Amino acid sequence: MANFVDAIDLSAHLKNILANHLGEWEDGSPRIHIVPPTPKLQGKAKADTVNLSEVECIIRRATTGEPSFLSGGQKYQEPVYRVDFINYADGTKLIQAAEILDADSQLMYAQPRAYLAANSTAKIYEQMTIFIRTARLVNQVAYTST
Amino acid sequence: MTLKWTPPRLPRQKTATHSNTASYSPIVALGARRTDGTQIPERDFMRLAYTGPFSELSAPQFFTDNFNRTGSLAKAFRATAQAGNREQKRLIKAPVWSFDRNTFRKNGEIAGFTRDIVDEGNLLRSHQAVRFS
Repeated sequence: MANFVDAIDLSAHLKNILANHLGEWEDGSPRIHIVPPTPKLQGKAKADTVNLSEVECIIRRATTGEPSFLSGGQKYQEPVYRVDFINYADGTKLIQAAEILDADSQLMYAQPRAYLAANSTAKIYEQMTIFIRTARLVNQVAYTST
Repeated sequence: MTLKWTPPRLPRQKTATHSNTASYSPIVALGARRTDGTQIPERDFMRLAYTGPFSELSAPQFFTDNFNRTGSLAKAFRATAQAGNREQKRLIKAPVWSFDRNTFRKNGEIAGFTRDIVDEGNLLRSHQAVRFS
């Protein structure tokens, strides 16, 4: 089995572990989206017990996958998902989310994450990009007596 | 009849790491969201040196040719990674990258919608030699 079946599965997992760190769409749903299609919703700040969050999470499939070799010399490209986080607020929610991601055992990274601090000169928001592998895992060895 | 096969030895170092130490290299490679809501387009010169439409390097062909010539997987791997590194530097200087607006350069030139990513030369100077591990 794979750690994530597809982007929907990955999205559900991120929604679950980052429930207190993502912002909200205007309809009140968690601010996470798989592209395509383009979201028609605007984001808004989500208030939790500590502070507001305007972290947005966008998932898309990276153009290159991880090659995996099967028997008979066949090759299979395991999908890699690119996940962009953007922090529209000047808060600590993105850093906290990064710590949650680091501690999660189901996420396997295809390459080191890229982090950009908010920069007033370049006029960019704080943002982070991670690349998640969907590797097949062997989690059970069955023995059948003959 | 007996068939014998002597497989080529696997290289000891199997990972080649490309790196660029310019502070803004992630912005160039991955793009970024500006505070005015627009997007700086991604210009992933490192990955596209191996796979992209602008690259003059065909890595599988280069590797195969080198292996056929030397008979060594290790030499072919090292040579391919070093060729990839040279191609990344060439792509920084190649005027093929799309940008979403015109900007003025320090020397007064206007950088248009299609441009190189040399900027003030920092990205090119910060491109490191390939590292094997």
